[in-house]
Amino acid sequence: MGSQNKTVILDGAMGTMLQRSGMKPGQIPEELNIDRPGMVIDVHRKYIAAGAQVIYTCTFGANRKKLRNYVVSQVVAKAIENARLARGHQDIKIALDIGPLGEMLEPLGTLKFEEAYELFREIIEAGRGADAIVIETMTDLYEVRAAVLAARENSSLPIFVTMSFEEDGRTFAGVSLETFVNSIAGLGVAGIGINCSLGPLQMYDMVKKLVEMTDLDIVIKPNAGMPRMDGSYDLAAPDFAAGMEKIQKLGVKYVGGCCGTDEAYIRLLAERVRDQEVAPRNIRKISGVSSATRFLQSGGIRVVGERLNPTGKKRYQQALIDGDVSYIVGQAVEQVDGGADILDLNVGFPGVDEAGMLRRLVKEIQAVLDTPLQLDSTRVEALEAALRVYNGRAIVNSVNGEDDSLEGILPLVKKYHAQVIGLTLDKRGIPDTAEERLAIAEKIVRRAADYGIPKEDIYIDCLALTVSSQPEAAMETLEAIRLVKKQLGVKTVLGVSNISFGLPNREAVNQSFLTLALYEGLDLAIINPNSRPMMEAIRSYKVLRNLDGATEDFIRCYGNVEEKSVPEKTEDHTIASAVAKGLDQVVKAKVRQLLGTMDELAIVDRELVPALDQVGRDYESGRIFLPQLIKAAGAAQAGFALIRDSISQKGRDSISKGDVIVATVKGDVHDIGKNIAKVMMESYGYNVIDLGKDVEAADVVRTAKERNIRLVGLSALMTTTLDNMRETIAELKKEIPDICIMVGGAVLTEEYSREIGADYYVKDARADVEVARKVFGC
Amino acid sequence: MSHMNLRVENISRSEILKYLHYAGGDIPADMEAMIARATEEVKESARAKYRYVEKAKDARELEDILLGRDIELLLASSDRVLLMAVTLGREVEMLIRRQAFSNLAYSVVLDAVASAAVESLAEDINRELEGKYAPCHLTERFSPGYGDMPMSVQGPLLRLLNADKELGIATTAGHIMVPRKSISAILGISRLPQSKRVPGCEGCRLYADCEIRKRGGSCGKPK
Ligand code: B12
Repeated sequence: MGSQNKTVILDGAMGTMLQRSGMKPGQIPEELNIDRPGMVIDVHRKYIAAGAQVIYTCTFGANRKKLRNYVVSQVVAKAIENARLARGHQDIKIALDIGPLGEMLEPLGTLKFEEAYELFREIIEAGRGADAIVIETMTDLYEVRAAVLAARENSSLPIFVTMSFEEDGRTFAGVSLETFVNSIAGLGVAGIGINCSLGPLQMYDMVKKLVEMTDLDIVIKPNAGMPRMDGSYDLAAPDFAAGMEKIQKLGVKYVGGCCGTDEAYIRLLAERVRDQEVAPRNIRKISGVSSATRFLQSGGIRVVGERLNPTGKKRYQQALIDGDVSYIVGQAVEQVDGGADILDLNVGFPGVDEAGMLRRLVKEIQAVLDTPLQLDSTRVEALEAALRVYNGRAIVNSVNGEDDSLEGILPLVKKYHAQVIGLTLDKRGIPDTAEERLAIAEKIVRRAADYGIPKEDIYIDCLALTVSSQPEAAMETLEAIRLVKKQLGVKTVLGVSNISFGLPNREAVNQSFLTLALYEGLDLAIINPNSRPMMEAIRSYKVLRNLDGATEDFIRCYGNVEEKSVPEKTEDHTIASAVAKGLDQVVKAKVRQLLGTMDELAIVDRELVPALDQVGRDYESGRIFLPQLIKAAGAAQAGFALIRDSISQKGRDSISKGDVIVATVKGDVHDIGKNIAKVMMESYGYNVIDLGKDVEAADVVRTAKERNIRLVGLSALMTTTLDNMRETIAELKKEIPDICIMVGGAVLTEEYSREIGADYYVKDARADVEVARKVFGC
Repeated sequence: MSHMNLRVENISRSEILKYLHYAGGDIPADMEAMIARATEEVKESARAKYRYVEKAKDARELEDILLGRDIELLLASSDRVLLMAVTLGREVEMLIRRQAFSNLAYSVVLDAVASAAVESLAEDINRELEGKYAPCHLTERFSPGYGDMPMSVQGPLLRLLNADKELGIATTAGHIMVPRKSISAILGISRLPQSKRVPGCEGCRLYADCEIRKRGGSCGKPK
């Protein structure tokens, strides 16, 4: 859009102008394209007369969620026609304007990423007659990604994206300039920028940062200042134009106005800057890995958590097979608490649908953590499924020196603008010498360049072999890291733990090897962040290298050990008192002692259950309150886990008293009540399958059938989602007539539960256990 | 019309305890510590924002908002009304969610503190408005979804406040506000002093089964 290197004037607000022309309250502005085309054309003409060279179609909210009387294709087609009529034969570009859908996307809302994509696709297909696409006023990076992908895949028009930031430098969804640019600038867009929310003065510092972060053209469209009490804005047209001139001088190519601006603002702006040279920019492109709200610039030492990988991990394998998402997310959280900066995610295991599971876990993990992900697979379909729904910029782990691998995966890395790990191996396996590994690394870097993937986005893994079988292996790997860093100028990554395989005291070996590798310039260390020695190695190395903030971090982690409270003594407690106080370590110690002398089932029946019952009675009578009850349940659960292990070691059948599904129904996003119910039942030894929140009736039914479920617990907090609860119950009863259903949540009553066909109404966190006892008879 | 960033300062302790089903008696030290930590964390991570607009009661935009007998009674002596919304923002929500995976008891405490925090903010704003509109009187604050006012009012009400753009509050297809820790409300402005007219628990459809009421509390404004 626009000639080579001249400043281009965009238009001003559409809504402000339409209101002034007498748009009625409650009227959907986009529908005026059809109802009152003259009004819309008139606004366009005024902006063109004022000097705008690009006009935005009146389609900001022209999506299926917001339109009432017309369909999207009608409105968009008419909007483009109106813009064309206004333009006549003048050299004016028409931009198809796309704003937020108006409904919150997952994970906080219920609109799925895939649905958002379809909604945008509809607009974009109808808008192919425009000269460009602008996606603007966005606050949610996920929505931006859906819109950009829809635009790229359904149109060949250039794409411009602007997001709206608050004065604290973040959007409502917590997106920063860094996470925005890092994720979107490489996604095939022509320009990027900021609009709405602030005036030019408040935006200035942000723009100054932005022009350095990317080499793309910059688009800036602020409001007419900040809003006042009466809804007007505080910056008059001349001041706005003056503020914008300063912004233009930073090297901004596209300038216009958003809320509160009109043709007077655009005229003064055009007088000052139209057709002026775009000022040169001092560009230092940022590059790294990021989630929606957290950006890690490449180059620092980062810990990549290795534990979400099925190799040798029985419990994780089982969780993958069972689809036990909460266990897996729990493992992710634990690693981040341990100090992981990035999480590796690998779900490759026989019997697991890799693409489906990787996609699902990406969504589940990013719903809880802001930690960037490293997607670990060699399967193209799995990687594509995950990259599509990842909300940020991921690392792909991995390609190797084989042509198949490079040709299959590098195009994906490019398309989704990811970073990539290259393994120094090919069909001959891992070469013995550092030089040969360097040669493979060189090939990978070269091929990546062919696909337009720069060095900054590549991490080479020089691969650690076990020293017990190949004594020279450690030094060869270190030498390879040195060579690769020096000769290729790329970043490196290494899975450290392999080195000690077959040796006693493995952590000692791993720790030393890690320190050596760091000294050779290792960037990403793939380790277990919950291993104390490994994290100590990382943190002390950073101190010794005098890295920024390293000492503070070290002191924060290790400085206050003595402050920790004295651990409770096992001798001072019975199981009952330890459960009551929620002391999980003590409960475990007690159970361990008892396992020597008592049968597992007896420990459950005579110790844990009576202890829990007592806590339950105390809760009912108001002697303790909710968090204490939950803590007690958690402690009992810890004891249970030990008992389960003991039983499975003896090869006996598990002692689950029964399988229960819990879910928050479709449309509802409240899960605290359901989570409490779950932990209570688990503490009593029921096996709870948690399907999460916003769950489709069909998913509940399918799982119930697959797993032969007898009891289902459903939750809803608002009356507006009770219909979905009713529907879920009806489906369940239809497919599995003898299934038992209990329901809970703030708006339910005994009477209403019966009306919608539930078998039990669960008033609080304890009542579900009574229901389960009745259903399973134990 | 006004909108502003807010700092969470005071969170009503009795509200927090109410949400945690507290019924009197000692609060053990570990529970006190959890509540104190949660209070700090909520204060720190909240990005609270609010906004209100004033309209004539008979304004056309309010036709699909002032629905039901309860609001009619409440606004009987008002000719102008205030619409307001307040939110804690999304960060708090992520915090609660993350803790649900590592420490559920703490997550529940955070949830209760956050609920109490947004209630307290609504209360503060309410007081500020009372000052601003004196010598006129304000009615009690009434929220859509209470009494006989349908949840479907949320859409038009939040649109009037431009809540998605200005406050970052969106609604789901089922009219649930996201971020969850958000409140929307309507108040009447009147020249006459107002009696406490908000329908109490008696009129609530949950009367028989409400656990909060049974424990001697109420989910409405703290008394
Ligand atoms: C705290 C609270 C708030 C807080 C926090 C809300 C939130 N979503 O996080 C705040 C102040 C923000 C709030 C706001 C609103 N609220 Co409100 N709120 C409540 C209140 C007082 C408690 C709800 C709660 O969090 N309970 C704590 C949890 C842990 O309990 P629970 O989910 O019920 O779960 C327990 C049991 O039900 C059971 N259980 C639950 N699920 C399951 C599942 C299974 C399987 C089992 C076995 C058991 C079980 O066990 C759990 C543990 O004891 C209720 C009133 C009440 N008496 O419950 C109103 C209530 C839910 N709110 C209501 C309303 C109307 C609103 C607003 C719409 C008002 C407004 N216009 O601003 C907004 C909406 C907010 C939004 N996001 O859309 C109405 C809903 C009515 C309706 N028509 O749907 C209620 C019922 C009040 C009333 N008397 O009418 N609210």
